[in-house]
Amino acid sequence: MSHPQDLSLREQAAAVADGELDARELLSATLARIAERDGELNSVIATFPEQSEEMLASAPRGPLHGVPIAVKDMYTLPWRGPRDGTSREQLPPGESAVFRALRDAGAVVVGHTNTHFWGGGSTGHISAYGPVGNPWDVKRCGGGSSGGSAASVGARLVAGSVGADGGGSIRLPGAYCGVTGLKSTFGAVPADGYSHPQASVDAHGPFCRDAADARLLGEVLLGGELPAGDGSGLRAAVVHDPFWTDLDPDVERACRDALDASGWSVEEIALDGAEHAQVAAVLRLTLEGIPALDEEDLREADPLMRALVKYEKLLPAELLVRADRVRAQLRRSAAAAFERFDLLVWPTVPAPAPLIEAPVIDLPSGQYPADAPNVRQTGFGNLCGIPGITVPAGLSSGGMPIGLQLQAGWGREAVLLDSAEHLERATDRAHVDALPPIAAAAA
Amino acid sequence: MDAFERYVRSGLELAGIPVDDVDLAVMRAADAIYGPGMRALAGADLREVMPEIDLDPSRPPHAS
Repeated sequence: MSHPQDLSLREQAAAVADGELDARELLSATLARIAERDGELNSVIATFPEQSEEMLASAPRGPLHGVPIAVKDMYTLPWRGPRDGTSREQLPPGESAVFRALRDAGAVVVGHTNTHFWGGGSTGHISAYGPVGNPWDVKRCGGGSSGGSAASVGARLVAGSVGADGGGSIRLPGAYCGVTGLKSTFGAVPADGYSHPQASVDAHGPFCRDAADARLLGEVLLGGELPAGDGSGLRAAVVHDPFWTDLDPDVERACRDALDASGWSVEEIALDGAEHAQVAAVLRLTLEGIPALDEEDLREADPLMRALVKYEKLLPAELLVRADRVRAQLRRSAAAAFERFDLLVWPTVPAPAPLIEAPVIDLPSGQYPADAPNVRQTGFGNLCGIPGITVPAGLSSGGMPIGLQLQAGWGREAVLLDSAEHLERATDRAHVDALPPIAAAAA
Repeated sequence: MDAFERYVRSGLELAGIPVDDVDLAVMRAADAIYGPGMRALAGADLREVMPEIDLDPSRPPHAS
């Protein structure tokens, strides 16, 4: 048999359930692969051999019995508090809702994954544990803030991981790393034991190699069935401005090709307030985090992060009030759109993953630090509270992954998974089955 | 010292927060990126846009 981490999540679960794969061997092989392969990738900042063994020893016969899962370093575990990309515990150890869901499904938590400092960036290049690399090129950003969760799945260290998304932090690194990342509807996964409990934009969800695996892990996290349906024949809407504008040409081509391959009916629409979505998202997600920071956090912060907090402290209060009016406008626009369409579709990221050394991207209008144009693509979903998924849609001319983002109405995660599976079939699984160099070299 | 630097230094001084040249350079870069959008938001006519007083992001807005 090949290495068990080359199996999909559902294959691992089935093999353990059928007795074809010993769960202790799976755990041991997973920890060995992390030790061998993570190195410069730096996606997993802590493993828990002893606690993982204990979890396995008492694991119930649930849908993920004996299957190793990694979680973002923003969730409490009974033996380790989350650090949020900083050097200090942000919460004491405990049972987060994410931990309980995994434990009750029989899963084994094997590690905490690298996180952008304070969960406050889309590149993952700032962390007390060093930058997280990309499985397709370790010199490039794995993304953020759930970059370690995305990269660990992309590199086949684990077949499933959990992340959080306050401004795109599941979808953006998912796109960078060429994996499937599902942001659930706000509130669908309880936030207890999560290090940003104050957030009105954050939601949680799985990273996996494909949509069927994401359905399995998503059902565990959301605590209910996500029944499979027919993802063909859906009605999709695209919003040209601002979401299909100022894109890297490779991104635009790959996303258009994927959308064309879907066979969905596609109509172009406008969303009232969309021109302010990026700034409204940035204001909401950054300002609501500031009261949670203390002096020690600020003292130890990276100079860039510290200066940005100071900048945010100077913003007029009126802007946040205006941002919330835009949020209301966008939510009404989205609700109206979902009365006519199943999906809103646009590129997840405007450009592929930048270099860690210089995390800027080149767009037709100029060169920018990646965060601002990234949030332009994803902040809308956070303000609205709707679920979204990034689906691998091809590679750039430089060999880096590109993601297509699908968003659906509140509570319609199953439709997103159906549509993602349909896209996989329509593209002969070429993009979800593509192996990154870090995995191909060892295969 | 231009208006931006005066605003940053005096605003942070009022709040008792130190500021150095690195802070100032980062803030200037951030303002170059986000400032135009924020100023557009500040100037937008939102008088007809009603806020969601009972915001619940887990559901569609009540009006719909």
